[in-house]
Amino acid sequence: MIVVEAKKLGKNYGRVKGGVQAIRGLSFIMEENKIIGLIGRNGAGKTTLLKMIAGYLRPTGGMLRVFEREPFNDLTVSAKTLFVDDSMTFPLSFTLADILREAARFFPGFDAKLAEALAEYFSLNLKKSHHHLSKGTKSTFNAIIGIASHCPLTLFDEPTSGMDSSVRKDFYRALLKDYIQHPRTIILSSHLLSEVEELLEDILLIHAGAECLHLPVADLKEYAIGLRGPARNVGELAQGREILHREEFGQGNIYLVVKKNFSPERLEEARTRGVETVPIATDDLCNYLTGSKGGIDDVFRRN
Amino acid sequence: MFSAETDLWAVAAKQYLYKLKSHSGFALGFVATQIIALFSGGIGGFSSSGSNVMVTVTRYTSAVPFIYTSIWIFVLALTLTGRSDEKKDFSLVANRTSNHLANIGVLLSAWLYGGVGTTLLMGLQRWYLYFSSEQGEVIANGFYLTGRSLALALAAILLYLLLLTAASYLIGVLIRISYLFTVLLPAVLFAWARLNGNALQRIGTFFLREPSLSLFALKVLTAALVLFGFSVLISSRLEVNG
Amino acid sequence: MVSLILLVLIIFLVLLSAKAAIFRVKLTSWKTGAVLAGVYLVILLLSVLFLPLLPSGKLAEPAVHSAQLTSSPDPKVLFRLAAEESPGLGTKAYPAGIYQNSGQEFTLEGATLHLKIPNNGNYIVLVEKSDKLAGKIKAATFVSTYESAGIDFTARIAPPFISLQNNTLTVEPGLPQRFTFKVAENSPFGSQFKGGKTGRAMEELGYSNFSSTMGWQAICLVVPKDLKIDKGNSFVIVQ
Repeated sequence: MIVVEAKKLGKNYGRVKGGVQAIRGLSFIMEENKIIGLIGRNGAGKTTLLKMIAGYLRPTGGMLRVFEREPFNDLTVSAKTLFVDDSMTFPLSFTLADILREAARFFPGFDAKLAEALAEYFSLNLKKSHHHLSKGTKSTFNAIIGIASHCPLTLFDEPTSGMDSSVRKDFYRALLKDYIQHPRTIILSSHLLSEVEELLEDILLIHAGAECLHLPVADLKEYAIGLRGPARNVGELAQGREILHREEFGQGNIYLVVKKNFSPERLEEARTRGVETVPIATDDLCNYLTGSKGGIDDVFRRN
Repeated sequence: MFSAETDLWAVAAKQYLYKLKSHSGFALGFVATQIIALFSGGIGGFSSSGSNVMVTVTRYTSAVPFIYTSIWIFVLALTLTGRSDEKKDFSLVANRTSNHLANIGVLLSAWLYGGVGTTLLMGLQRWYLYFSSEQGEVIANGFYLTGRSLALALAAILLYLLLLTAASYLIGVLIRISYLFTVLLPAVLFAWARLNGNALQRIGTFFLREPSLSLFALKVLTAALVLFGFSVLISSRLEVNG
Repeated sequence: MVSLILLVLIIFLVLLSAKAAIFRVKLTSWKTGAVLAGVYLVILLLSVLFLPLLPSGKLAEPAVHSAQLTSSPDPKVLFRLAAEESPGLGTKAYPAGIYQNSGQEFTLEGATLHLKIPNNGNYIVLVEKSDKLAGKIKAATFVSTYESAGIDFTARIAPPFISLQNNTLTVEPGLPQRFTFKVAENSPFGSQFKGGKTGRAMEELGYSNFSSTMGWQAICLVVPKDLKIDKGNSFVIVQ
């Protein structure tokens, strides 16, 4: 079953032509009961996309369907969707316990026991007001709501910002455990793929409002390969292929990252000619895919 | 599975309770305004003097508490429609319509509470007057409330307050759409008063000079319905701020 | 001009009231707010329910009859009073809302009476010559109806001071007086409706257009027939 479907989705901010284009021509399909990573740099349009899926923002172009409906301003979509981010706020006069009680009224699947157990584990004082929490604690509490609500579509926008590393790990683990017990669709946005990689089934990599990659994480690991060696030999091997990244070393050596679709024989042959093959970490791959060609080195080379 | 419609009224009712709880502080604000109104004394200190005799007649009415109550409900309307509250409203389940329904529900609850409170303050006002005055200072006429005068005051206060509540909500929604309206609204009103004061006066007369209570009620209810309906209509396609 | 002020006021109100902290009391728990709101409403209800328990003795009962309200104070009435009913001593209520608030008797020593009365128009001075009096002067002061918000306080007006020394009769104004009345009105909003009129005189009149009646003050002197009067600067009507 398809939960989220986008076709040539676009979003412009500002009414005038040439306003900021946050999303341009994004097309993808997200299936039911998966954990999907929405990866991109700051300003890539992750939050805009999530807010459109949550029904907060109206697309300015293309098509977006969530649960086979137009999500903007749709109550049915809203009832099945929970958007968790660090600006998630609650009324001043509510204690954390109040908020949990309210969430339980709104979401039929809300697991109050789980929420309380998690709050206790993360040593949150439920008598406190949401406003008095520190940034990290607020994120933790919001994340607890995200997990315990068991919403058919849960959107986490940078859920771990402000959390310390042990809480992060615990949060991801809790999310995974709960997900296994209550499978549902979860979209997790992050600019740090390495942190969420183990959790994800699919990833959607976006850059400057457009889709870069959309594939299972397992495929991502095999997506590209690094070639290091004498410039001539490496260049020959990579000829005609898209170069994702390029670094030059001294003495005519070069490091190239290219799509991995070489036959094993070719690679074997190249190795004999001094070309080293290096596996590419997914994190680095994302950076290469979304970065400007040449990376930060380019800035210094020009001077 | 996906196409099951969510019940708008059920969600709106949940949201209404949520907002009612979260704005309960406003009830205290109301009590504060009432206490200020109670101690701020009477109005229209009418005085006259002849030779070396001076007479002052001070009137203690529901007018001052009523003004405070209308400001209170105006601020509540602005808060409910404000941008800073919007993210809170949509954090859980909501759409524009359910949010409007919940807002209007909260406003009407405040309206009822404020209207009844403003009317009943007539009692507390008299107690205060009684004990803060000298012998023979308070005029007996009108001091003891009759059921009839209370009922009439309640009806009149509630109806006028309803009109102001609905108008406040429209103003709140307009300002939510654009801050420009904070300047634009009074400016338009001013210009209108200047260019066609008669029309404005006629609107005032339409309500203020209606001698029949039931006709007045009909006018107010219709106007409130129109104002609320218009507020919902013009903001149904707004994006969620935040 | 008024609308301009109104305009500024509205802008000011809109901008400021949104931030008015007094209306949005911050609470740590919504339950506290709900409970306090309920308690307050109960207090209000009780204050209305138990209002009849307050004894009415402390209140000022309106005592003005409509006939008196409409009759404007007339100096002619005072003339008649002075002429027909030679004023006695002390205080006394007369018909038509006239009240005698003082009465004195002085013994004369000479044949000429000098008057020293402030000529400020506050008092009407009437002198009546009588053959029943010998070597004596009767001085009485009158006030006609003083009324405000239906309360007749004519009897509470202080009389001027009158003294006789060395054949000079001196009048000094009484102490300045200040009366305050408080009216607890029914809601002003109800008055626009037909049913808002209760038929009771004061409410029919509407407190919104209060009128006060400030009466006249008069001094009546009854003197022996053969007494010479030196008016001085005083304005006196001798009969």
